[in-house]
Amino acid sequence: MTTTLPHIDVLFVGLGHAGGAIANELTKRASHLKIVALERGPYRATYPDFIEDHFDEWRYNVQSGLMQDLSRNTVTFRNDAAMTALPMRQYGAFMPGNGVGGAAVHWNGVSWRYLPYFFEYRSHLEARYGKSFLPKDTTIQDWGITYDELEPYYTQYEQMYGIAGKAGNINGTIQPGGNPFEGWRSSDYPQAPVKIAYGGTLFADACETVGFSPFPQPSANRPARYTNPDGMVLGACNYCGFCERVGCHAGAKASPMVTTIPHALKSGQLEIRQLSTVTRILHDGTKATGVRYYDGAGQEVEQTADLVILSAWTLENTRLLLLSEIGTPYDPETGKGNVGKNYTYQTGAVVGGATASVWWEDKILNRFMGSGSNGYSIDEFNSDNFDHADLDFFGGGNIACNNSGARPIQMLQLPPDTPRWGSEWKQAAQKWYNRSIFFTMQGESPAYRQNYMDLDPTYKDIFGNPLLRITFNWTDNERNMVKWVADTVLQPIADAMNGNKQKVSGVLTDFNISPYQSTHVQGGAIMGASPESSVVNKYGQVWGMPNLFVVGASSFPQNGGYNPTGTVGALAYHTADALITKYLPSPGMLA
Amino acid sequence: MTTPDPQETPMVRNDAQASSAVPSQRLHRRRLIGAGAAGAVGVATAAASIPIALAQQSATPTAAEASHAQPAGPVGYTTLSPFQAKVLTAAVGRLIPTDELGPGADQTGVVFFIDRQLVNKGNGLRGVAYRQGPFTPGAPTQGDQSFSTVEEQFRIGILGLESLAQQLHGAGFADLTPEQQDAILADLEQGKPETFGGDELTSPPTQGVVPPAVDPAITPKAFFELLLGYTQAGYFADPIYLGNTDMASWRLIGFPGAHMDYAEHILEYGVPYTGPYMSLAQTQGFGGKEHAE
Ligand SMILES: Cc1cc2nc3c(=O)[nH]c(=O)nc-3n(C[C@H](O)[C@H](O)[C@H](O)COP(=O)(O)OP(=O)(O)OC[C@H]3O[C@@H](n4cnc5c(N)ncnc54)[C@H](O)[C@@H]3O)c2cc1C
Repeated sequence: MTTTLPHIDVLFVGLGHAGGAIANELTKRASHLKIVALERGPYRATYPDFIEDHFDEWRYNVQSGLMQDLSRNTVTFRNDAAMTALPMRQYGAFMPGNGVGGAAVHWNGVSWRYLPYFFEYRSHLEARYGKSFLPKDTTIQDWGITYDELEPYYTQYEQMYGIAGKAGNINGTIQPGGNPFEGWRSSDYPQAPVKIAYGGTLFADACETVGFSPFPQPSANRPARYTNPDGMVLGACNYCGFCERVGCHAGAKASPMVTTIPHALKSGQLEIRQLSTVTRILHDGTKATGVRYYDGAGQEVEQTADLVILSAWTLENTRLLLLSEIGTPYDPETGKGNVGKNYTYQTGAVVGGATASVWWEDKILNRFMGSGSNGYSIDEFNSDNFDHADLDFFGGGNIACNNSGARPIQMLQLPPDTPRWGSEWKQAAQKWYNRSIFFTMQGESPAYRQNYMDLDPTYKDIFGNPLLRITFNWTDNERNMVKWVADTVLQPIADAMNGNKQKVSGVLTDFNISPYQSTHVQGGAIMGASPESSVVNKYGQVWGMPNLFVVGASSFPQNGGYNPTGTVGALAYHTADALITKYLPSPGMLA
Repeated sequence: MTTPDPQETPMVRNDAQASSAVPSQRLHRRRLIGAGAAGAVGVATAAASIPIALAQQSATPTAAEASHAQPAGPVGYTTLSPFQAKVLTAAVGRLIPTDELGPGADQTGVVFFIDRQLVNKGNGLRGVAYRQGPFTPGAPTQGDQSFSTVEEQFRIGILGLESLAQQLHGAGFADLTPEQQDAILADLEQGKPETFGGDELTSPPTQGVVPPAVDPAITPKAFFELLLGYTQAGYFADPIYLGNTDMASWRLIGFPGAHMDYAEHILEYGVPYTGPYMSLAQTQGFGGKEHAE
């Protein structure tokens, strides 16, 4: 029997990075609202959950201790429509979060702004290279929002999270030591860069030797204790080297659990229902009326609300729209429909991408020290920062050496000529573990007609609902990009390091769902200037259903050569502001 | 619903850190200075062929370290049979041998680690698995599609190893010479034979008991990868999982383990870190306070 609970004002489906930011703003600036957040995972905080045991590579890094329980829900995957999609039975190219705070509880905290022209990417590329330059099957599009509109919200997000970095462009003036390619920012980062590990500096020195301009990679960890505009205190990073995939023991990694969510709870307006899995958005075709969910006892509950915010990350955002029959599912044959369209990823961040390693016999790197985002980057070869007129691809990526702590099960990297087992392997492990670095390109991931999401016809979740099916592969554009970057950029940097051994690779084959690459998954409910080309407007508001907002990277029409979460944060604050200043005073489609 | 007030959350060592903000300019200078200094260290360490940190890596644990790393009380097998444990001990001991560099996987509890991971059939190397059908092998890009549990994969793999040893040498795997064992493991790694299966999987042969249909996902090559994955994981995981006895693998490579704080050391470029090796057994239960360093 389904229980129906009393009506409330605002309902969040999933409470992570994006949802937490919006919920917090609502409690601050719309104090009359009664807000409920339904979150499928538990509430975990620095104390008592992360403080003494998150230094466990086996439990958290290898066995994915904090992630979505795949026995309950996963995705199916195929490279193209001719294949039968099969479930991702174990992790996994990406790792969806599960719990209050979402994946941002256990992210690395590499926090970027996208380049200004990236929000008008198709227009920009066509203006520069002509309309016939782009591959025919690419479906990249302009976002319907500009960097200038978003700048104040990037700033707001960075202040809330106490992002540490070095500005490269303050109000149009280029700053020495920062990223000369970045968009203008109205102020510097709220915190100076983290203390950067030795490996990062070796990379930076080599980049300078080759003639590039390295700058500290922005980080959601910081060198000093920081109080954000809400008065929330974030700790200083201890560089313990256990960061991604675990919660921070020092409250130093910015996440909703040390910023937005606890602050919102203080208002008394927000009620978080843990272990509550939403399975449908209820609606009458023009208006969302609430949701149906299973509570922690496995009982079905209906909750009605005036305003519904879908903030369940890219995959569940898309799946819930499809399951609830909101919008038109995308059809790759006809190109009609938008829900599920433009699934994108991050090109070759680790496996099979443009990657390089160097080993030195005479250097000790203390690779086990580090923080989630700790290193230097270069941006000369990101996106369209370099001329593509004579190249056989468009796009590029950020190139960085990140020192997030080398846990030995997963990050013992040995020279390519090492046997995989036996005494020689052991000798190599002893000799090289602490004497190497790794650097890589985080490549842009363009959208293509044939890469999309829909509901799987065969496999079901624990409640009997179809799994989300992902159809995705790389194209020659990304293959050419990866090879060119490896040969032209990574190779000279590696050479300039004068190591005893090196390995540079740049062969991108077919996308493989098995090895972890990144949790940078975009699209499915993309934003745009019109209902013909998108699911949501620039505020994340669903076209034709004004009281439903879908937030997160599901709204990205394509992914840039950067991690996405900084932009997810900026878009969330943009949505929050529009809700408070425009929507609540006068509910309806926002212009 | 009650939630802890996160503002009560104790922050670890924040006050000590508050003064350590590094202005970016200084940081940049530090980078260059650091790199120069590191060059000098590099010259010094190149002269002595084994640098200080590595010499220290083979040191025996202090009594305090050892007592934390060792499980208290008797340890036995809870999922493996003694026969399976014997075959596995021989196999993991070839993958990571005991040699002049110190104890290998056979002497650091790795088979106990595997045994414990197989409780409730095992989840696999990467956590909880989705186990609904239908099951089909799929393409290599679609990941592991095994129908069988990890426990079953070990069961078949161990029987397969044993029967190959019997076929080739007329003796059990654990009784072969290291060279013979290595040759069998190297074959598996290369995908030889292509499949397990057939009569050897019913042991001992009994009239009327037919060999089981073998999950096509359990190939000799796949079993080799599974075994190597678990062996390295057990060898390097925290000793609380019963492998990595005395943090032997960490001492070998110079990984200090479960430390909370390197803030005072991260800018010591090129300088070997000399802090203690620490297991979670020491970190857990300290109320979040860094263990005395
Ligand atoms: C190991 C790792 C490292 C990362 N590092 C970086 C990095 O360095 N830089 C970067 O930019 N990004 C990084 N990311 C990605 C980053 O964490 C995400 O982009 C970000 O958390 C997305 O925010 P979100 O609000 O959209 O989703 P989330 O923060 O994941 O929140 C979504 C929430 O919705 C809940 N939910 C889902 N479905 C339902 C349902 N049906 N019912 C109820 N609740 C539901 C989930 O449990 C989750 O808590 C990393 C991710 C991982 C896993």
